[in-house]
Amino acid sequence: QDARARLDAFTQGLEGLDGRFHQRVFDADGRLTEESSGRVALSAPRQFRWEYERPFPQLIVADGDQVWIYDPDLEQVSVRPQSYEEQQSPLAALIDPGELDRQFRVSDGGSADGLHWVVLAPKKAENPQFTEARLGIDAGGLARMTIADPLGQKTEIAFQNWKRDPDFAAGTFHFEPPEDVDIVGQQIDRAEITPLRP
Amino acid sequence: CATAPRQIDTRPADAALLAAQSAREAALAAQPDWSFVGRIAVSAGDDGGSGRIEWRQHGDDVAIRLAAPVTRRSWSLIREGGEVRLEGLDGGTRYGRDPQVLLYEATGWLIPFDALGAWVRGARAGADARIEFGPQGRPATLHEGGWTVDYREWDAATPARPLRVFAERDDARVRLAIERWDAATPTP
Repeated sequence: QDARARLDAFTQGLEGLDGRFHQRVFDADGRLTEESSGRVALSAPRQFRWEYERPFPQLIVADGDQVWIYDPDLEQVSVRPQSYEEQQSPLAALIDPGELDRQFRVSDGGSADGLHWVVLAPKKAENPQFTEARLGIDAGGLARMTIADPLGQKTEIAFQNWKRDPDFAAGTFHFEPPEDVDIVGQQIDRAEITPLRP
Repeated sequence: CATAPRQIDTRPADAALLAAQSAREAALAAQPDWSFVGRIAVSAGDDGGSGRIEWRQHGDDVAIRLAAPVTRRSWSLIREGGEVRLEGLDGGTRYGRDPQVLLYEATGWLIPFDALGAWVRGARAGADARIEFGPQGRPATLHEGGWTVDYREWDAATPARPLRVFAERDDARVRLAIERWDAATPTP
C-alpha cells in the first residue's frame, strides 16, 4: 500500500482526533531554534485546537468560523476569519479529505525513518504558505508532519497517541476571551467573511 | 523570577537610581552582540497579530525573524551595513534604510526597532527618556518618543534582564515575552 492509501485509511470516516504534538523548528542552516509541545485536537469538518504547553502557553482555537490565538503572557487575543487560516495548515486537510486534493498536489514520498511519506505541494502558486509539506504515516496513522517555508526554515511536528473520534469535552473548540486582554483582528458576524493580510 | 506587583510605588527617579541605571546601560553598551527568543504581539487599534520572534544583534547589524503559530511561516528583517531588507512577506523582498518604515509600509505594523532594541534590555534609547523606578531600583516604566514602556517582569540574573515588556503609544502596542536571553540552541 502506498503512503496515500495509508493516509486515506487513517482519515477514512474520521470524525475527530485528539493527541499530543512535539514541534521542532530548524533554521535555513539546519540549526534547532525552537522546541515546543502540547495538545492538538481536530473535529470534522473545520474545527481544531492547538495548545502549546511548553515552553510557553499559547492557545489556538478554530471554532469553524474564526481562528482565535490567545497569548496569556502577552495578554492578547487575535482573531481572524477561519477561511484565511485554513490554507496555512495541512492539518486541516486531515479531517476534510476533499481539502487535501483541492489545495495540494499529492505525490508519494517513498519510505524513510520507518514512515511512509505523502508529499504535498500547494496548488496556489502565488505567496504559498509553504514550499512543501510532508506527512509521515505509520501503523498509528499520521506520525510526523514536516513543513518547509519559503525562507528555508523547516518545521517538524511529531504526533503521539492519537485518539480517534473521542467525545470531546464541551467547549473544546470554543473560545471565550478572558476579561483583561487586548482583542485584535476582526471578529466577524456569521454572514460576512473578509480576508485579512498576515 | 520576581514579578513586580502591578501597583508599584514608583519612587521619583533620584540621583542614586539614575546613576545605577547609567552604569547598567554602560555595561549593556559594552556587549554589542546579544540575542533573545520569545513571542511578540503587535497591534494598531484593533488590527494586529502575534508570533514567535528571534532577535540577533551584532552592533548595528540586526537579524529579526518572526514566525506565525503552528506552521511557523516566517519572515525576516535584516539590517547589514545600514542596508535593510524585509524577506518572506507576500510580494517578495523589500529594501530600504529604515526598518520601522519598511515594516510599516508592508504590514501596517508599527515597531520602533531601534528604540525597542534598547528598551527590551531595560535601557533608554536616547537622552530624552524618563524613567520611573520600581521596588528593586529597576525601571518600572520608561517614557520616550511618545511611547510608554512597562516592565512587567524581570529575570533573576545579575544584572536583571526584562522578561515581559509592554510598549504603547496612542493605539499602537508592541508586547514582548522573552523566553530565552540568548538564541543559542535550546537545551531540551
